[in-house]
Amino acid sequence: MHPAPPPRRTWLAGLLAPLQQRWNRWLQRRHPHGIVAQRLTQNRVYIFLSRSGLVFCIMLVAMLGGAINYDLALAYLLVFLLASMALASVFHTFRNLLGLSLMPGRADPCFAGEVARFEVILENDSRLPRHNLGLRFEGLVEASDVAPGDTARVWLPLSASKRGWLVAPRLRIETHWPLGVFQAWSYAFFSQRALVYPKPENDPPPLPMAATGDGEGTLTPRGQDDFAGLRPFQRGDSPRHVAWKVAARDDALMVKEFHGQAAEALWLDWDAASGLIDAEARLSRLTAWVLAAHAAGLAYGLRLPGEVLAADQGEAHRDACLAALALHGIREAT
Amino acid sequence: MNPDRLDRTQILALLAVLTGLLLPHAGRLPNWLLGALAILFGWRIWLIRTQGRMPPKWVLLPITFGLIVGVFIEFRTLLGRTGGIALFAALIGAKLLETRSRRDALLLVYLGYFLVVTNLLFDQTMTLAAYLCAMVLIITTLLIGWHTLGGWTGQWRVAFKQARFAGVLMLQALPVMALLFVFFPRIEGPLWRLPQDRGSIRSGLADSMSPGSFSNMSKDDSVAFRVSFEGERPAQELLYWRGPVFLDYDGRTWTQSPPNATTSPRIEGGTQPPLRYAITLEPHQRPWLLALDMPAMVPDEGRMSDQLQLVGRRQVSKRLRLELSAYLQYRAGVDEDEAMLARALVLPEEGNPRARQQAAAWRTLPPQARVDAVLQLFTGQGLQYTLAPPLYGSNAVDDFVYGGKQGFCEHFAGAFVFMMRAAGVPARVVGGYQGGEENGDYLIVRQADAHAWAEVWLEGQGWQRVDPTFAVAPSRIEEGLASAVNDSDLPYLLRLDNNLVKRAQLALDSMVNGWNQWVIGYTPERQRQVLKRLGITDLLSGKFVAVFLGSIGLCIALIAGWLLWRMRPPKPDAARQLWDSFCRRLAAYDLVPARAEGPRDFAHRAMARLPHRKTEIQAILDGYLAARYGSGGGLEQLKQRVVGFGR
Repeated sequence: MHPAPPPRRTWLAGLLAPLQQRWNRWLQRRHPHGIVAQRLTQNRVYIFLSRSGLVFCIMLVAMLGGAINYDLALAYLLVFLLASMALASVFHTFRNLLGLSLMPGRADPCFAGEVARFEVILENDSRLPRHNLGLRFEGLVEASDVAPGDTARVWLPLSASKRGWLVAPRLRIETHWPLGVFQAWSYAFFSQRALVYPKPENDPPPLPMAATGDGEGTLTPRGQDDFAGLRPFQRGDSPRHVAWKVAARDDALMVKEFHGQAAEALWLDWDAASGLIDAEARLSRLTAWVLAAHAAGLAYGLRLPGEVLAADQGEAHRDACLAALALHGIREAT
Repeated sequence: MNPDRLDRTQILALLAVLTGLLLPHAGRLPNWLLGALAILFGWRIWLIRTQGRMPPKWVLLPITFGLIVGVFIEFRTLLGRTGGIALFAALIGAKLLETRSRRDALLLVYLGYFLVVTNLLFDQTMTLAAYLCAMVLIITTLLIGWHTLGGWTGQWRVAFKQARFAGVLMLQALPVMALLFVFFPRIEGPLWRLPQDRGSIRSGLADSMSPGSFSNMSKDDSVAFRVSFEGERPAQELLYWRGPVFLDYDGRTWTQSPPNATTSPRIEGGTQPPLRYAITLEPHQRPWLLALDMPAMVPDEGRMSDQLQLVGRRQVSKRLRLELSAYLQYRAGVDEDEAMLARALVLPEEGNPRARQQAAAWRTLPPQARVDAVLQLFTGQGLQYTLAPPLYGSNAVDDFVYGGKQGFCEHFAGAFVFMMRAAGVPARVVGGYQGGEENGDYLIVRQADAHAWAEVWLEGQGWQRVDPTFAVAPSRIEEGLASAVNDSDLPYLLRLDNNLVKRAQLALDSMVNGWNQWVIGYTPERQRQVLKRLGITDLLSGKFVAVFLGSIGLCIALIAGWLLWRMRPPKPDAARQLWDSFCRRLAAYDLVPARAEGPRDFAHRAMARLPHRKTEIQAILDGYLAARYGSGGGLEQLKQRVVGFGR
């Protein structure tokens, strides 16, 4: 829900930035781009000591010092056993990623300021299970196991700050299994896109009910008086229609539904959101209105500069309206 | 689920394994610390059960500080072996109450491995090794559990599966571990010196001989040293293991004068070549080494003293393996220093008048005849060899020879040397061990085999060994202690009867010996010997690097190959193989199944392209669908059709 804090810039980061760019360019050459399945072949799986692996190594050196100092043959034996186990674990960690197929899946739209979720499909066609695979775009890691011959679907969150297309950044897949001494990782550049709707205005003015279409009057829609029943809460429903008494009693979010008058054509007009000079603020208000009108079960049309959506109702219409608002003024990414 | 959250079962298992690793230290830690640890562990368990909150920093810091101060007051140091371990244990106890996340717990798991090493500081027996091996397995299981999704989720079945995997991982590590153990260059310790702890128990021979000092050892069946001979084992009556030489007598106690290693008498061997053997001494906390009478060479680890005694460069405080050789027939110190001979004649001013008088009467005889005269006196008096001699008074020699007539080896040797000196023959008492028990290809010498004999200096022959005990009780020397005394007084292992328990004990000792020789006793010298046998003389040589890295690389490659091969995709089933073969045949017509194109769609595309073979293709499609997704039969028919399609 919170926008990610901007990355802190230090003098070190400034020094390392050119290296970082070269590294990224090199990675992008190695890994295929776009919405295609990607198999993690040998040359795309990287492996190195993890942070706890470093602690493990320091501990081994300390133990070796003790073994030498006190001339303890069994301590030597233990150090060598642990070192050999770490060596063997390199291949366990490596093969946990090797040959795994990654495929981009769907992407859930969201409102600006919320979190978009991208689906990634993992396919394991090997004979052995794969353990604790961690996937992430940025901070948060989503982990999954994949049984032999099976697939797993992982939904990855990515916070969306701006409306429009949110393009998934580089995907990192990593594993520390089994000992955590080594970590193997790889990247995928799927460039999945999720649609980010404008952030709905908080506490917007009532819907501009105007049969005459002059855009001035703000009447209470008559349909709102005719209570029709309850249905489960959906994303985008106005909080004003939530049956809070029911929620307190039953622990389930229900929304009051009203009979709308389909004949009553409601136009949500770019110009109706007057008083707001900022285009983004207008889009926010229109978004809030679309949600309110949909929740009220009204038929409504959307009029934007250069784009008009005829009055209709239903979820498909709502999504089309939201998409139009999301992409208003933004050239379609190709 | 938060991946960083701690699993309850795992925290309990961690507590159990830490307890298991601290348990062997229990006797070394002060009681107050054990109590504090019990409270801290109990507190953590209580927190797990009640899901309570961890104590805040202002509670935890004073506790930690108090424990550290307590350890310092108790041990006067935070270093050293016991002090260090006490500090370590206290810190682990405090850390437990701060362990919230998986990362904290991971640190504790690593500290668990470290605790294993602290146990080895005191004891490296096979039993402890087996116990610690089990502990390492559990710690590794915990480590794997922490990196597995969902942890153990409180299920023991999952934990057992992970324990099995930990075992597999340990087995896969064994070959490389063994190679590292053999080849990794060993450095002579210590790298740094820590305050030494007191309280190591001394066992074995003392540096003086007073009545009872040897007979007390006859009940001790612990091992003094083990010997393996390069060739034939000499007869039992020749196995005299030379130890401290007792030169000075004050009327009651024979004492060792500090061995002086600046000059040592010349030793000449007989006609036979020296006998080569290896001796592995158990630590006895004394500087002297034990060697078969008479040492033919001086090892690097020691020097030869002026009393023909091998002395180590430092105390034997850990198991020591020596490669030695001995002359069974010898002439030693023919040109012995006058001062030494004079000292070997000194007697106390008074005491034992009767023995003195009788011996003085033999002064007119030639020296060899005087030796025989004393031995004849001993047999003629009917002296008895016994484990429980009476306590003699201030005239101990007179009381023994003419009175009680019952004695142990220290009585015989002491009385004999006394009378030789009284008769004017330079003589001294030699302490050591006699005999040994054969077990497979090596000899076990126990503390109970401790023995004292005499050495006299004869003109032209030098120092010669005389064992008065042999003159009286030859079976003690020829067949061992148990045959010479009533063996029901002896501990079990020292008796003669060859029962099952004793044989099992000997088999066990054989294993322990192998363990000591090849695992515990694998010192820098041993490594040099092993490498020399492989033709490597220099640890910096290219050959060593090639053998070392090459063998390890080969092992790793084999393990890696095996692990990756096991991961390969499974072979498709028979029907699928036939279908793939069919697809390969269709590829000749430029027909390749597209990605995500099912067999039915592909077959229809093929039929449209090859209308003249429509029926064949349809039959193969039907056969394949029936075999793979339907009844599963008709494979043979499908095969014929696919093969037939090629023609």
